[in-house]
Amino acid sequence: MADFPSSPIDWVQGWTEIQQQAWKTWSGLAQDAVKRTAGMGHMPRDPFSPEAAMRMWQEGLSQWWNLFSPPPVESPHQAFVRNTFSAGENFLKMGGEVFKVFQELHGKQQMGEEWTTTLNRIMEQAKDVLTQSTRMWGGDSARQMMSLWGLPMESWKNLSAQIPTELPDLSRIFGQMGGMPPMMGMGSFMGAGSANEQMDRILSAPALGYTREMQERQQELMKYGLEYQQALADFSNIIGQVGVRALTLLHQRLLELGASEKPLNSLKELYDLWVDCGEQAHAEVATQTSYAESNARLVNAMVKVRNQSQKMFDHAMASMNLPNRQELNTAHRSITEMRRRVRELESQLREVKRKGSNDEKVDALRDDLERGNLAGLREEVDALKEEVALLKKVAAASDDKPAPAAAAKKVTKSKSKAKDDS
Amino acid sequence: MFPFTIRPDQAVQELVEFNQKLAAGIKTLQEVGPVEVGVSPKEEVYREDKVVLYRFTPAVAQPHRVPVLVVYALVNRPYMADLQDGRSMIQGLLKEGMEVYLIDWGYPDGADRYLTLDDYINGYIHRAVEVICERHDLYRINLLGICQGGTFSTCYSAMHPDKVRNLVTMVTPIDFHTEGNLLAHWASKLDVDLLTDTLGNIPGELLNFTFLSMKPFQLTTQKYLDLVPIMDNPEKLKNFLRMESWIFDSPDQAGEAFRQFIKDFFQNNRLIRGEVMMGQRRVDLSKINMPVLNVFATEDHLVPPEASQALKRYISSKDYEEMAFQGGHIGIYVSGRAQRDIPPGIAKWLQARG
Repeated sequence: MADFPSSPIDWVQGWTEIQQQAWKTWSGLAQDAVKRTAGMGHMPRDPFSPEAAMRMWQEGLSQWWNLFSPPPVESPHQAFVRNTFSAGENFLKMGGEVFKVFQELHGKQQMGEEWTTTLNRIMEQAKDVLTQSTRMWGGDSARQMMSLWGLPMESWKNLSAQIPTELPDLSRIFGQMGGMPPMMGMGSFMGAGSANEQMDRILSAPALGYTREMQERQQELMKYGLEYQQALADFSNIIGQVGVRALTLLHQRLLELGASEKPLNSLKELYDLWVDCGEQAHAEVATQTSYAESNARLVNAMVKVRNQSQKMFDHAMASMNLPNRQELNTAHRSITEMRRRVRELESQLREVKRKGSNDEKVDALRDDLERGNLAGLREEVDALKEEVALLKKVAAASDDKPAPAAAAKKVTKSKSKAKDDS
Repeated sequence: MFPFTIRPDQAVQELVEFNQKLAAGIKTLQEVGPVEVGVSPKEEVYREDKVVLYRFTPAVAQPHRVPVLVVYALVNRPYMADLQDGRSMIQGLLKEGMEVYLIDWGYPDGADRYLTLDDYINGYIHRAVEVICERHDLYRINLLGICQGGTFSTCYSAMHPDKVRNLVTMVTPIDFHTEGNLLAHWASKLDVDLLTDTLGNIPGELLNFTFLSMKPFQLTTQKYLDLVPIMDNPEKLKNFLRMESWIFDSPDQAGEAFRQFIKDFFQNNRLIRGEVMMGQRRVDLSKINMPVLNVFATEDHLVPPEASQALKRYISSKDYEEMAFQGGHIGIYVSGRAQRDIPPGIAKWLQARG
């Protein structure tokens, strides 16, 4: 029987080495291809053009990514690894997009066009595409195109996965069908209007029969589902506006950099600029009332769906004589109230015990001392010290007998003043 | 001038190096193992439900007579104040000779959904204060509240001024409707009643989403990219992972406490108007007559400085001081500069006041 030479640790080590070797091979090939063609300028699409080299390298990277990331071991830092790889992927995608832009800029420059003209055109085209994509249902195209600026929607997806409310995208289904088809023999029974309006009409139809209540609950759920889909689309639209605004800011900043002769020297610098523009755009949009309203509408709509599903589930559990959420809530509420009552009684008992014990007087004295006006006492002591110093001064300076009496009178006056003040 | 000096081969080289560093970093990650948080030794002195009161082992033979109770927020975990050696506010206070206690709220579950702010403040905090008073034979102690914990401490001080010798608040929101308060802006239209009635306890993930949404591009992608060049350094990687653990370690929020906090504080800003009720008690900030030290961060994007500084307008304390820190909401606990300035500043202020 063959020996297994590797322990699990060795296997992981081996896996790490393999991925590094694969990476070196791919990147070596890509670098050679680019070096071979760098400086040759824009060439027609051929296997050895920088564009082709970059594409080969990106495809290789994509395969490497799919095969080797994230690491196959259970790590306490899995989420961190996923996030880091995701960030890396965004960086690479940006690199790929930038490469295409550079190709176009270089090409047009060789034809005599100013780089600013080319850049302006590229940016306007990008904004047009993004704006049109944002108008489409859910803005998926926008998110794919500008994956970096689609991150807020990715965050929302992660959150909503934790609070399951998955419903089929009904409006999309009806939208793709061109609206509700007329039923056989009924012509335009469903009437005119958007897919949403048609759907709303169906869901508002009165339920009939023995299962009327169940139908009504299901209709409510579907209605809330539609509201949620609409709210999601609206919010996605707003996030899309962030992307458009970020592109505008990026455009402005690039022109400013060109004018100020402070070029960017690396892809990372460009990436950081890209992020800065995104954050600035997001900050502008996020402080608007429309953002707050849309965000709240999205959360409220999601929760409404969840609320309705929960009610239906509770009803089903109750019908099977099984404990449900409502019963648990009642039990928890009672327990919490009982805990409060117990604490209150314990506190009262401690108080009763304290009052019955000799410690009460000691406690009272301690309370007085703690609460006592220490600052006032200090002031009084300081005043008395001043009086004593004055008396000593007067006694030392004067040989005349009446003086001490006058001083004593003065001291008496000072003392009664201090007494009045306290 | 063309705004880029990047050549194609340079661009590819940069990406190649990036991925090589990433691969090297993954190797380091596999070796680094779980990261420990919390550097200062402590002991449990009291426990009630999921709440635990800890006493940190003093660093000096004769600590300051009046202990300080650190009250952290319900959001996130309190080990942020004791993250690692050299980045621990607790450690700094102990080194300055303070006797330090801390309330750990734990991880609420379904059984805690009906806990109210009254339960937290007039219940858990009050009983923790009583335990410490009894241990040290004192009538009142020092309170140090952080963020939402500062708001709680402020409310407690208003309702029990006889139990608080000195109050320290750190990055604490008091006025929730100041300019630039993004959280209040976003919470304004939320149907909190529906949210709480449906979800019960509010999932920590919802709060994570909200905080990440404040700077979505920096916090979900750029910070990981910035880490890649140093990922092969085990110590730096561990430091990052500690912060990362804390950021995503968000307990669920007890439903009723969350409901009241959002409605009364964020949406209706009732605290500064004296309209917050906790049980049978009204929170009247003018009852705060003990010395107050208000520490805030000048670049705090979560709690704008004005939201904290508002405290001075509503209290009756004759001994009020502010300490401004040049930094952000998190930096005030963990940055090297903060360790140099904040714990010594707080300790000195407390020690001067008995």
